[in-house]
Amino acid sequence: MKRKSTLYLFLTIAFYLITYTWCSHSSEIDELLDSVESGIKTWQIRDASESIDRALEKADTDEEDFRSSYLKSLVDFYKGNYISAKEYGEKALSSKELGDEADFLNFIVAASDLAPEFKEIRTENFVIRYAHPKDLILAEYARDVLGKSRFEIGLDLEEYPKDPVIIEIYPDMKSFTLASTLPAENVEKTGVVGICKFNRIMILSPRLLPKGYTWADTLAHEYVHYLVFLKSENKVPVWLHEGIAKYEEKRWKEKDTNVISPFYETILSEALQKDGLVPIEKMHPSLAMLESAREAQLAFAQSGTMISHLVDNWGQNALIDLISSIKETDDYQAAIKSVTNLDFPLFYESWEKDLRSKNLEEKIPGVSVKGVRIKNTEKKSIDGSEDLIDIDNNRARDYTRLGDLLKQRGRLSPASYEYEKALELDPYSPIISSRLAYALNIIGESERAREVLYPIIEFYPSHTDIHMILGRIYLDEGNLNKAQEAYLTAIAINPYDPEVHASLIVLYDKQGQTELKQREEKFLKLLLNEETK
Amino acid sequence: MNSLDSLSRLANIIKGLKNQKNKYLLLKGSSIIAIFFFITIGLVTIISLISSNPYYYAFLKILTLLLLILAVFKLVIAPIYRKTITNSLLEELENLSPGLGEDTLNAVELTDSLTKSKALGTSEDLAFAHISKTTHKLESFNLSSLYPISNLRKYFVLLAGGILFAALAVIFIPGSFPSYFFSSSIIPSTSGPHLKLADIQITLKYPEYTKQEPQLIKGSSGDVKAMKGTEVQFEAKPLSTFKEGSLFVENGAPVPVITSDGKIKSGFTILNNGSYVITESSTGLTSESFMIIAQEDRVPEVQISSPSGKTVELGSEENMEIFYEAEDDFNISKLTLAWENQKTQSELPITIKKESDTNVIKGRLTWGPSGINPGDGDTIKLRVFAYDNDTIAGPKVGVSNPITIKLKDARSKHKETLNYAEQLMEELIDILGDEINLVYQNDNNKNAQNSGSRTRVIDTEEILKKQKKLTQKIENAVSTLDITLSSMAEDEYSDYTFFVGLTNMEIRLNSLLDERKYLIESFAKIDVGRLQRLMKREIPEFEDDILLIDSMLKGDKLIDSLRSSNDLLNQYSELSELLNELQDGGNAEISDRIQEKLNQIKQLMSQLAKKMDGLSGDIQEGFLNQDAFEALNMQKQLNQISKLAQEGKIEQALDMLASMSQSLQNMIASLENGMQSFGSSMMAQEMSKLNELVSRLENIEREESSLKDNTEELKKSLLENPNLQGENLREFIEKEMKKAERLTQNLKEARAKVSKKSPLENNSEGAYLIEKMIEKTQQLSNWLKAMDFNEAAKNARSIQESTKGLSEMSNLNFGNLGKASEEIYSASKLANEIRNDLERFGVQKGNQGEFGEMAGRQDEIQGQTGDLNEELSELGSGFFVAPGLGEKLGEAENFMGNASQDLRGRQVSKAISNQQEALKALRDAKQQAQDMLQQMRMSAKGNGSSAPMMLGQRQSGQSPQGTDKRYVEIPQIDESQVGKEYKQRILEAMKGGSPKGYIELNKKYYDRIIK
Repeated sequence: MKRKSTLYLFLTIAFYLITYTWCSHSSEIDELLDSVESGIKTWQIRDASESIDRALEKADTDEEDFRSSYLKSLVDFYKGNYISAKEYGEKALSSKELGDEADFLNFIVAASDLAPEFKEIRTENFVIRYAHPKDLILAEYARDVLGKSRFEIGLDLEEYPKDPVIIEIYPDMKSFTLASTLPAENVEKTGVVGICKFNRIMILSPRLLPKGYTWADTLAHEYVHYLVFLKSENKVPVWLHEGIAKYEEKRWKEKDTNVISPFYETILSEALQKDGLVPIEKMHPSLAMLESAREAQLAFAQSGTMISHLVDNWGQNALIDLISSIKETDDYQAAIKSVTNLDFPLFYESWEKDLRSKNLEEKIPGVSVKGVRIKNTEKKSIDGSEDLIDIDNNRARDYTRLGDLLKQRGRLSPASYEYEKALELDPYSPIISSRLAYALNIIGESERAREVLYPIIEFYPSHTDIHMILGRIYLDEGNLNKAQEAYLTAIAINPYDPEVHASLIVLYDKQGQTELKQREEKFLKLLLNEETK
Repeated sequence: MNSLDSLSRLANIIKGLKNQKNKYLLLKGSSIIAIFFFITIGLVTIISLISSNPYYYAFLKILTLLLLILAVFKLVIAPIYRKTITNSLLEELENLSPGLGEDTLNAVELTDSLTKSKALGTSEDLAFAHISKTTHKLESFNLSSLYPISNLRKYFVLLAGGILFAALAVIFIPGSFPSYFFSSSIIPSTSGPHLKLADIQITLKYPEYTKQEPQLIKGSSGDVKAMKGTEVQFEAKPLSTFKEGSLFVENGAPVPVITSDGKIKSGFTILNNGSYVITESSTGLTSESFMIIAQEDRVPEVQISSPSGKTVELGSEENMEIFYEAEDDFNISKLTLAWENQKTQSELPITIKKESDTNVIKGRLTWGPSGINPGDGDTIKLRVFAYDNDTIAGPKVGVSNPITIKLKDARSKHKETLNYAEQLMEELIDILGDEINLVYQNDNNKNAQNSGSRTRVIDTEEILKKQKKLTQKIENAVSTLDITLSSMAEDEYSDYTFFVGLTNMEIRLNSLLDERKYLIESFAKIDVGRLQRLMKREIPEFEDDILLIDSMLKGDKLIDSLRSSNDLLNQYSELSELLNELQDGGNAEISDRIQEKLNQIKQLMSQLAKKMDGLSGDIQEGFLNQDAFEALNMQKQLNQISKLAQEGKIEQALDMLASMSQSLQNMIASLENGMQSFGSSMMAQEMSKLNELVSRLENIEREESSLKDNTEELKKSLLENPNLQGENLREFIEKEMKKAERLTQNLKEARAKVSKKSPLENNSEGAYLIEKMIEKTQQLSNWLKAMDFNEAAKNARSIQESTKGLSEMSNLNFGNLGKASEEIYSASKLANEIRNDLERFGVQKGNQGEFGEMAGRQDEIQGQTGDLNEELSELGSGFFVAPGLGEKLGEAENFMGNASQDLRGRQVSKAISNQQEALKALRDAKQQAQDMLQQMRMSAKGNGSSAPMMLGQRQSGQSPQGTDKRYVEIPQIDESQVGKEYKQRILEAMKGGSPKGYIELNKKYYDRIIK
């Protein structure tokens, strides 16, 4: 009987020990996997990565194995490690019948599989990836832009990522839309060419737009999103995200922020007059999903000015506190209230009142907001007429075409005559103005060229030709600093024009900046080689 | 030497004598044999009557032949070769001269001894002397008399008698022996004894399709020769009893023979060559065999007489006239025109118009290759096929000489046109640049003048020098434009809309050029301002011109790319067929062809890529779908297809090709879309102008139509509503017309009386005056009918005064008028009545306000039309406005002006006529504008009708776009005119300036009114 009792006791203890061991193992792996999930959600990828590696070692059961593979695929995807992401994704996909995870896994596998063959430029805080050889130029310049952004915006938001931030420059529309999950029509309609998603910043190469776009501001804009995401652990609503990004996007190059550009002033004044502001609710889930490029731009202007209103009236810290408060409460209205002491409707009202008090004007009459037109080839048309279609006035377009025809044949004076006529019909067209200024400058009427360009540059700061021509005027005049500024602005929009780099070589040579000159020579060579290929 | 000579002379004489004798004997023998032959033939023919047994016949034939052979031997051969020939000869000589025979014999023998060195028995000299003497003697005689041919004449009579005898025997003695005798048969047919037939009569009934009358042949031999299908009716009189029998045609079924009235009858149809016999069943007698010769119906002959050469060059949209001639022995039932090219072949029936009863058809037809969708540079073979109506052996087909059509390479022509257009654009840009520079400089100079303290001196020499240079450039450009237009007129691919645009451009440029030349010719300082103003008008003109050509060239590049894409697609399809052939067990040759095709495709791809690159940026970016162009990178895929084909993986290669084809089709769709968008955008402005024009024209037309209705209403109301006297206008007119009729009658009677004069009288003035009155009265009736009361009243007044004068003259019996004084008086009275009625009517005639109002309305409409016309001419511009439009509006304006005057003059019918003419002109103008609009719409879609083809021709085939292009209901233009002529007409009309034929038109119009 005693023996029997002893045996019974032994078995009980053994069962208990086994059960305990198994349960403790099970709870440990669950904890690990939970922390991985949490890390992914809040882009704490370094921690998540460590945890998932440990989880993978410990996974015994099929279920654990599947979950570990699944999360490993996600972590690697978020780290930009596409080969591994694909490998684990496929493993997870084959391990059992999947539910909701299947779609995302399939996406990861496809996106990883079709990801461009990136090359990298690494800095202490950034990994800049590019696929097209010409995008090396962009990547090089992006290093400067991102460095400044980290410093200035980091200071504004009191946030500095611990790990290097991945920046990916996509070489074509197909790969960009796949990676960003943005439908192509949305990109073309609303003009969204950059996105911060999956723990990285993705932009479309400006090569694909006929005249480029303000890629440097876009990078900074997306970097703001990155910081806000980290800082709020992804709790800030989209419209506010965009507002903060819009407010901060130029901080990398400008000390003071002024969201209201002539363009925004024009569309805001029109919206205020017509009571056509975009409701906050409509800005969900993304501004890229709005109905038109104009509406999207209006939403940017609204949210940007709202942040500007906050900072102007409650100080820079109010913005930092707002993000922190949203992180805590996950309630932007409560956060606004805690920061401003105003209920959200009152805050909104005060913003609108403030906006109205500014007596905004329609600075650029008849401004049209267009989506993104993607170039089909990198080759410029023989007659340089690719942007004529953007001139809405038919007759103005005709005169511009005549000007182009004369210009191509070296008849610059008559060409300027035609451009003048076109400009009379469409006085705010950057396309016509820049052509006219170009012709005037060549025939020695640089004063008049400047007269033409100055009003336009304010309206269309992102029109690269304007900066190019100004650069040329300044360079001819010997105003090297101004010329450098103009050329660098042009590069911040379209870094693929060989002429900018050629001019910068001359400029740096005059300034005795050998290193910069050599860099430009390298870029020029790269572009010319590509051109001749 | 003499001795030797005698020897040879003797030998010759002897030889000659022998030949003479042989000839004589041969002739003599032949004559006797011939006499013998004919007599024998006659005799055996008679003897053959004894029996018709073939052996008997054979015996007779053999006997006759043996006798003949014997006779030949005995009478010819034996005498000639008889050994006694020399003796006989010597005898003859002896007879001729005693001793001569012996001497000759001795001489011959001596000669023989001498030549053979035999012993002479005497001296050589003596021998030679004898020989010489004999020879001499022989030579002294006329030896030809030894064998006189004339002796043979005696046989001629006998021979003639023999021939006659034989002929009579053969012809008149019944029996078949002669035919057997002369046949090659040794023994005659053993089928039985021959059935003797006499009075053979054959009736030939020709096939119905020949439409030939039946032919009766009496006294026939029984042999028949006729066309296949001919029915033969045989009739003969049997010489022996014939109860029943049949007619047997070689290889055919027996046909029973009918006996009637001692004759036998039967028949058969000729189908092939052969023979036939008649057999009497009871006796087994069979007639001789009669021949059947079946003649074939002739194959029709057909020939293309024009175009005369073997090869003709033709544009794919052009037509050509074909003259042909076809002939058959009976009739042509069908004619077709057949053509074939590398890909297809087809036939088109030709309507036969027979002008006479002959079997010859001559005709003309118009044919063009447009319906068969040929490719540039293709060759097409044309033939006319003529079918006869042979219902027996089936229709026979005659084929004409082929005409090879070499299609012009329309694309290279088009390229040439574009080169001209490009050159023109370059010249115009250069001119525009110069003009702007000159105006710009002058403006600057003026500014400098105004601001500067010194007055700048105008250097007219310098100005002139520059202007002359510029004028020269403009002249050159106009000349290039002219060449471009001419080239377009020949170019099937050029667009009609642009053609009209450029034609208008030429008119405007010429007008400006004339003005410029005039100004430059007598240029002075004072003209500087004028020159500036002219240049300021020229600049917009050149701007518009350049833009027009630019649009044309841009659009054309798009279309060109589209055409090349379609070419490429066709090549894909051909490659696909080749791959399928390879799959079905092709050989090395197909593999080679596939490689060749792949190379062609690569080449086309590279050409297309270049063309796409050459498209203007604003078209490419604005209208085309860029995704479609990604498909252009197909070279790698082609290499892959080539590899797959070589490895035998045809299915995969075909799949890949299908995918490439789909991509290309997407690109074509994008290009078509681009073409339409670009075209619409480019033409939008012009189309909206034209639309507005059409709409305004419609308004004017509506208003004019309404005014005309009102005028008609007014006329009706005037006609129907009673006036103060209680009669309405219609009644009034009818009443006055009757009076005018009576007046005419009176005058006619008067004329009759006045004209009744003796031949000696000379008073034609009276009749002449009355005649003039009659004419005037008829005019009066016409004015009344036309309700032109003013004219009618004037006329009535004139008649009244004239008749009054006549009446007075009749009182004086001037010009024999006294004879008709009564009638003249009545006429004068009637004329007075009419005049009074009309004048009273004129006073009473109301509705003045209404007439004035309507005239005012007419003026307004005329004003609107004038404004529109003016705007149109100012548009000048109206790049695409057809030239006749302004002309038509001018006409309408003019008619409206006339109508207005008529209304003011209360000439209501005339007003209506003018309004009607105005409406017609307006409708024509509207039609022209609408046609042009339609053309532009099609052009905007990239489907504009090409300049030369157009004009009412409907075409089949696929367009380069794959859509049914150019099937436009094209303008109401004389369909009989081909494009080239029409364009030429436009060019001439436009160059002619003001509306030609306008005066003529007016004249015709007034003629119509008067009538």
